[in-house]
Amino acid sequence: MTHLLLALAALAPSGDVGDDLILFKAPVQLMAGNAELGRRKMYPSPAAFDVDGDGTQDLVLGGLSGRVTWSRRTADGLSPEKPMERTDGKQLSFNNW
Amino acid sequence: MGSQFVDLNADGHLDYLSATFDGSPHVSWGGDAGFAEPVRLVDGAGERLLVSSYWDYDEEAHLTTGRAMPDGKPANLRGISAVAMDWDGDGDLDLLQGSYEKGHLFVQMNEGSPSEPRFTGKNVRVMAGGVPLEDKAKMTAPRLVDWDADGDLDLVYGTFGGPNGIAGVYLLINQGQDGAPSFAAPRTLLQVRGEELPTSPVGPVEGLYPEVTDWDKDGDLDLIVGGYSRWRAEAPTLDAEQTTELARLRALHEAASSASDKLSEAFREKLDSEEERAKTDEEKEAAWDRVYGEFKDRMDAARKARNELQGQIDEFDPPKKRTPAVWFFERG
Repeated sequence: MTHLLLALAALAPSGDVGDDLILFKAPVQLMAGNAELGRRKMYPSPAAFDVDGDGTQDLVLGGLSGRVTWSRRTADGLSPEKPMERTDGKQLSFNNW
Repeated sequence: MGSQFVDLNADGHLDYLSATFDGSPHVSWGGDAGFAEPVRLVDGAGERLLVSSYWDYDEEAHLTTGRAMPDGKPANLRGISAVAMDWDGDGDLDLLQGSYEKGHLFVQMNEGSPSEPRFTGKNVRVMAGGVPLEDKAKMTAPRLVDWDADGDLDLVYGTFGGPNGIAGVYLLINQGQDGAPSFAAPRTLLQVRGEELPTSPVGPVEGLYPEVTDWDKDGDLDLIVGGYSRWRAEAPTLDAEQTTELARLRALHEAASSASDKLSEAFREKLDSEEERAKTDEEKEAAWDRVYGEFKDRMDAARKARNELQGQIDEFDPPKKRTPAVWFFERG
């Protein structure tokens, strides 16, 4: 088995961060409860945001459908994904065509 | 859709800014009680913000306009991402839009006030390294972050990859001054080399949507990346008996597929013939109900039989998978 990901930096002609490589460790798939985060999304797009105001960044998840979910971050990890609610109690959803 | 939590109307509450494949930025205004139903952002003339291609809800068609383009000409460029920053340093938030096609990035000025944004409706190309930013691997969404901790906002964006190029995540360092950002040429943060299928979803290879944050709280910036992995579970080594069984299952699957297809064809033929005889819309609807009712159980059973056989085949010969997920990339 070969790892698909090559986490490396191209040489920059110049830059405040210099020409050093910017390296990341091998990716770790995030779980939300017992399920893979984003597994029901098309093109999951994460954003770190403290949804419940407890001082810890949670993960908000957008996707192609525009329907937004989030997963609460606790000391034990990420909680199961659930719909992000609007003020009227409906799921926050951005119109798509 | 990308997501940005930003106080777009300076009321002390973070708003949720996004854009979708309908081609326009949307905002869900934040308040004491949370986020409201999203609305589309409009320019000073009341027209929806966009790049060029968009879905027209009235016409129910994909249309293209040049009204927001720098040269006034329509182009096959659909804005599918939006983030806000104070580009010109005048205290209000301007808007960046990224296009799916060609991975262009545009900025549009806010001529209103911090509390009452009024966008010009005209986009200007964002430059990187002295040339207009372009990425043939198609842009997912940009993020704004002070990567190098010098007090200004840098840009990170992801790409879709696929037939047009390798998917990746890129960094544009802002080398400009307050009110006059100037981005260096893109540096690669992640790039995907997907020549060989792994046996598990080890990482994203398509549709890389990045978030940049210190996720592990160790003082440096990590990446959280949503996307698709391509993989195929390790195929078991089959003995002679299992090989024979696999051949038997494949033959059964072929027969089941053929039976299912024939049933669907018979359904379609009968429906066409009955609909032809129908004189009104009500009669057509009744014909559909009648014919569908006649075929439904048999078609469902045929599909189920075919899918069950496919499941058994997959155990011997695992299929290629393309699955969505989210990964944490710790800064090394």
